[in-house]
Amino acid sequence: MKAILPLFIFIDACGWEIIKDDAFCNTMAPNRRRLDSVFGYSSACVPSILSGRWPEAHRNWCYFVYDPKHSPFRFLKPYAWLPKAITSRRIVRRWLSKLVKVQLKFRGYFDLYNIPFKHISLFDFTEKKSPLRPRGMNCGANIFDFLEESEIAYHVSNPARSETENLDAMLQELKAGRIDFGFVYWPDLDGLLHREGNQSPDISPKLRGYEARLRQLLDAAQEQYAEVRLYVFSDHGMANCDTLLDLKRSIDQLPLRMGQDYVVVYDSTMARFWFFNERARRLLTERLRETPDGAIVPDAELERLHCLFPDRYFGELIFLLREGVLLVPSHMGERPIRAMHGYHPEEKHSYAALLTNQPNLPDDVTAIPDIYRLMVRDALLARDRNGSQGESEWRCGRRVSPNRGTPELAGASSARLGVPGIECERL
Amino acid sequence: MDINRQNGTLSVTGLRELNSANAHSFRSAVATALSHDLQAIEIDLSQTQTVDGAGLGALVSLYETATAHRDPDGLRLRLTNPSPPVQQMIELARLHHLFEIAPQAGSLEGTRPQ
Repeated sequence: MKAILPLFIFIDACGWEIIKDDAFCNTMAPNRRRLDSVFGYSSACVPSILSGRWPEAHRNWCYFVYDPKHSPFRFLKPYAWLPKAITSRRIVRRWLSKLVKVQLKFRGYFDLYNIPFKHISLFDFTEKKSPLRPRGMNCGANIFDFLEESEIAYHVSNPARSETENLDAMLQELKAGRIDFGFVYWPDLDGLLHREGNQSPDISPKLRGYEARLRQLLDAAQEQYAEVRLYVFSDHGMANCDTLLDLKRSIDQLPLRMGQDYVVVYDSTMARFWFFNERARRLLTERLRETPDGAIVPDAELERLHCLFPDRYFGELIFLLREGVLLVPSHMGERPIRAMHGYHPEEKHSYAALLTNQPNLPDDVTAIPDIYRLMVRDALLARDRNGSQGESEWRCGRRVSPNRGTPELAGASSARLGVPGIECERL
Repeated sequence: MDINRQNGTLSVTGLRELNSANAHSFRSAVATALSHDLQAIEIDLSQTQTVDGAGLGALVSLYETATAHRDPDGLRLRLTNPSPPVQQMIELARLHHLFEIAPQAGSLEGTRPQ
């Protein structure tokens, strides 16, 4: 029997407000804490958890950025003649997204969303790699780089598989007692909340289902490990959207031309602008200041939220909506959705949650990037106490020789990983 | 590797490497010298050329052993004078949240656990 298994369970969107009045995991993980989220969407939150750093450092923030020079989407420009009635259909977009992802060899999550083909060649996509894999960050290391460099046997969910497939895969690893670190990712609650809102009667059954799975995992782990350190956590919460804002129509009424005077990405809860002349900057800024239900985020606030990028790569001006307001239409969708996240991290429904069976959660674990610290600490402890050094190890279900990193990391100095300013993508 | 105790401080010096070759013997030797009346543990890394995952694991394990059943604030754990590559490993593993990192042995300056 091995000594310790750190088991980290990531339930997307299982925010503090979702579970604070629910007995979720009370018997398995009774110690719970509200955590600050990270400003942005899952594209910012997940990399922050996995790297222990904030967007300003890892540079995974919002998916689409104005960067025509490096846009991989130029080949889609001919599709601009297709009628919007076809190209805005979700099923068409999903089908095209799959084709584009294969063609461009993107390894992370990818969706064309609702970016019009007329403008898509203005944009680059910033998550070409999967943060749930080694070398998956735009800048620096993530937990999987660390585990590989430290020769710690681990298993991580494959986001291309279903939740139940990933559960079964983890159960197999636990029953074999092969790993010293486990990471499970379950995204389905996020989808449910987006569709049905945070008061849906389906939430409680979903949580009970997760509890049953967690019990399965714990039981399997306790057969092979003397101590299972269980952590159940989320990246953000979910707010119901009861107000819709057509910012695009308001902006389109200005005597300015998209692509020539300015460029904007309409995310669901924010709009990010790049300006090509002072007149555009002035007119757009004035219009945004007059717009109800949102505000321009000052640089000082972006800095406080660790989302100020000196090169303005993700936008020169960020307009953020108050919680509960949704941009419709946006580049993320043509039609409304019941609930959304991506508001200011201090809005009520933005907070994430951490639940654990560990009685002594450090006081300085206050925000989702701090989860990385728990992962590293417990993985190192498991490596030491499980005495797996010198044995063949398993990583991601495949056997590798000890004392050898992944091919991509071979020869790389582990001391270089995670150091700000090195080994970054072009971003 | 030398382990000395003086005035409530356990000092570890002469550690040339902290890796899979010696991590267990390092941890066992220091753990054997632990006692409840210790006020500080100081590990001098000035001669340490390499640290790997096994070495970092030994440090975390030592931290857990030393702080078990006692208030971590009542015990100072310091890693002194790490070389830049070793310090980068320590920072990558976020051990600066567990240990105080001091640039020179005996110096009171340095980073407190955050």
